[in-house]
Amino acid sequence: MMKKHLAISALAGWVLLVIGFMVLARTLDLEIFFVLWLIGILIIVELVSDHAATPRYLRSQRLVIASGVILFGVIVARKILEILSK
Amino acid sequence: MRRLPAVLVSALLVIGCLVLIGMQAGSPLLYSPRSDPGVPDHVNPAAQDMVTGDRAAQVLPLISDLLNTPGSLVLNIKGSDFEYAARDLQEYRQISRQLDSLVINLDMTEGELNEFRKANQQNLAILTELFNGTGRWDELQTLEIRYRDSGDSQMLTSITYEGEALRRRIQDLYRDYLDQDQVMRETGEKFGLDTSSYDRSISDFREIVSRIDENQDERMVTFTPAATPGERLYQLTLTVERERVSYMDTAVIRGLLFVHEKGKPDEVDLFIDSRRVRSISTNPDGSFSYSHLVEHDHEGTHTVFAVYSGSVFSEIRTFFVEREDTYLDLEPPVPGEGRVELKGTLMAGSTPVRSAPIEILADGKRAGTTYTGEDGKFSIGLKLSSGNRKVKVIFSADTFPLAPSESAVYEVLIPTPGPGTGNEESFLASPLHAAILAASVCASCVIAFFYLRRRRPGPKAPAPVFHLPGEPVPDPNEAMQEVLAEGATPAGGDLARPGDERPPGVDAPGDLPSLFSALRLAVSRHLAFLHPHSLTPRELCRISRDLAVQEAVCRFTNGYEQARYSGAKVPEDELDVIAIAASSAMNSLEGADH
Repeated sequence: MMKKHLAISALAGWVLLVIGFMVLARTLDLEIFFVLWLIGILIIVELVSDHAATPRYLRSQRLVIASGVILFGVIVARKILEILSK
Repeated sequence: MRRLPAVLVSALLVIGCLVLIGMQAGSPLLYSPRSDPGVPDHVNPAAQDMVTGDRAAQVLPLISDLLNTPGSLVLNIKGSDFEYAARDLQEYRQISRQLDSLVINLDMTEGELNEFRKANQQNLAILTELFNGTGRWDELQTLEIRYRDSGDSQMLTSITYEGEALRRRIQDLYRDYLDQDQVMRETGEKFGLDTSSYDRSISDFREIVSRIDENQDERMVTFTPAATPGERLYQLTLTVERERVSYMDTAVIRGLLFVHEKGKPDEVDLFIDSRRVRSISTNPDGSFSYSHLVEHDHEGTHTVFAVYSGSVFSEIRTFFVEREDTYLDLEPPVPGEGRVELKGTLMAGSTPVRSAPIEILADGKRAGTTYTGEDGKFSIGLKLSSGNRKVKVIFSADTFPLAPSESAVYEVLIPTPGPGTGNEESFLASPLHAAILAASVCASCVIAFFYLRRRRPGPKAPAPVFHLPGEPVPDPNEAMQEVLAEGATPAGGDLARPGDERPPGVDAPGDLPSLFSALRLAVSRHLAFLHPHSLTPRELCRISRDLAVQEAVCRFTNGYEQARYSGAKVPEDELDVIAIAASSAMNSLEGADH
């Protein structure tokens, strides 16, 4: 199996696992889901990408991760402000 | 072309999902048992189970401890072991705090357990005051012995009066403790807990009260006011006009001082519950009066006496403060975006209660506190998360002789703040909040930038070799050997040599990588290319476009790609052609270098 297919399968498996645990815990929270997805995709991209060269399909993933990191910063700021405003 | 519709549908689905997720970004918690409001016709049993599941298991040990600790505490107080009593009291306070937080966290603010919690809070206040009162009582006994030995009758009088105030207060405490008995005992029995320790605490408390009664009675019998023979018993008299008063009533205390110079005003100190309230100037005839407004006096008996110049004492008088019921009225709350406005009034009969703390509960949890004004009215704006919220206000304060009360419960729908309004605006309204948001976004942008720009550490590329005129050029095959020794993985042993029609050992596609590495290195050396390892077969073909050997190189790379990546079996003769192309290319490059 190609690396690309392995990466897609691993990410899908991770996301389904997160959703499964959320359903078991009877709590569906988009923020938690987003953060866990970000962690998953970070790890998978790091494992798949090569030292010398980055496959084309991973270049777009790096942009997605960078956007995710910015969104994560916004979520952290929101949480801090929520705590401060209590 | 077949892929286009699939790609379009996938893109539409992805965009649709992202829009749906974006719509929930304001309130990302999609579902949790606590946020499940339920409807009158349907309650989610799974959610109910989740919330109520292990409550008993968490609460029962605390209830058991709260029923046991007073027994040990009162026993230590009875035995005058104040060191252990202080430790018990501290432990009791901690367990009570744990129960309070657990009850609030688990939304158990309704029903019997809440009654237990309130009764326990009362008990904690009572036992704390009993601890302090009995401690002071012991001190008074020590002082009494000392002053009796020294014959200081004034100090003995002072001690006797303070003892009387303490006795009455401890009697009141015992009565209050008995008031909580039913709730405490019933809760313990309902959960099947042992209440014998709590029962023992009541009997021990009674013994403490009896002992203090006896001691004080003895003290009063032996107490003789400081008066000279032939004169009246008290040189300073005192009366309280109303013996039973309630909130905002005035207890008028009048007195007459007989031992003063006619026509000259004097100062008399007035004590309520052994605490000096005020110095009052007497009239020329020696009379004086003081109006005590009952506002922050606890329910029960209060003692009053007056002292003139530290030596002339009046008799002890008492007045009783009755507890009055209160009525807490809450107007229908006005919801706003992420907040709610509450207004109401606290009355004790027809009297408004001023400066009283009002607690606001939203879904059973404390959401805020406000205070009533002079007219008993209060008003507060509270931030609340969106959704259906049950709001009510309660009044409960030990510092007032007033019964606790609570308002009706209102169900309020708090709308979700729209984008760019409400919470976001209030977030950005404060410079601190705006700064935090900006700092976090900037930090994440910087991290994202460095993530995109970073290079992972890999094997170090060989430094380019430049040949000066007259310098011997190394054999490309030696260089190839070096490369292979560094990390390439040749499947065969021998490498292609210039002049061979087919390099030895090239009898399977597994050797092609060795040839590719050698050719890549040779071309890179020839062109002084810095990173030979980064070249793909196609790139190798492309960069050799200006060389004479380009045709051979590209023939090799095409064949190499086909043999390596197509997955199909490559015929033997084709492999030979590929290997020969590589050999000829390397031969030509070697010749050019020489």
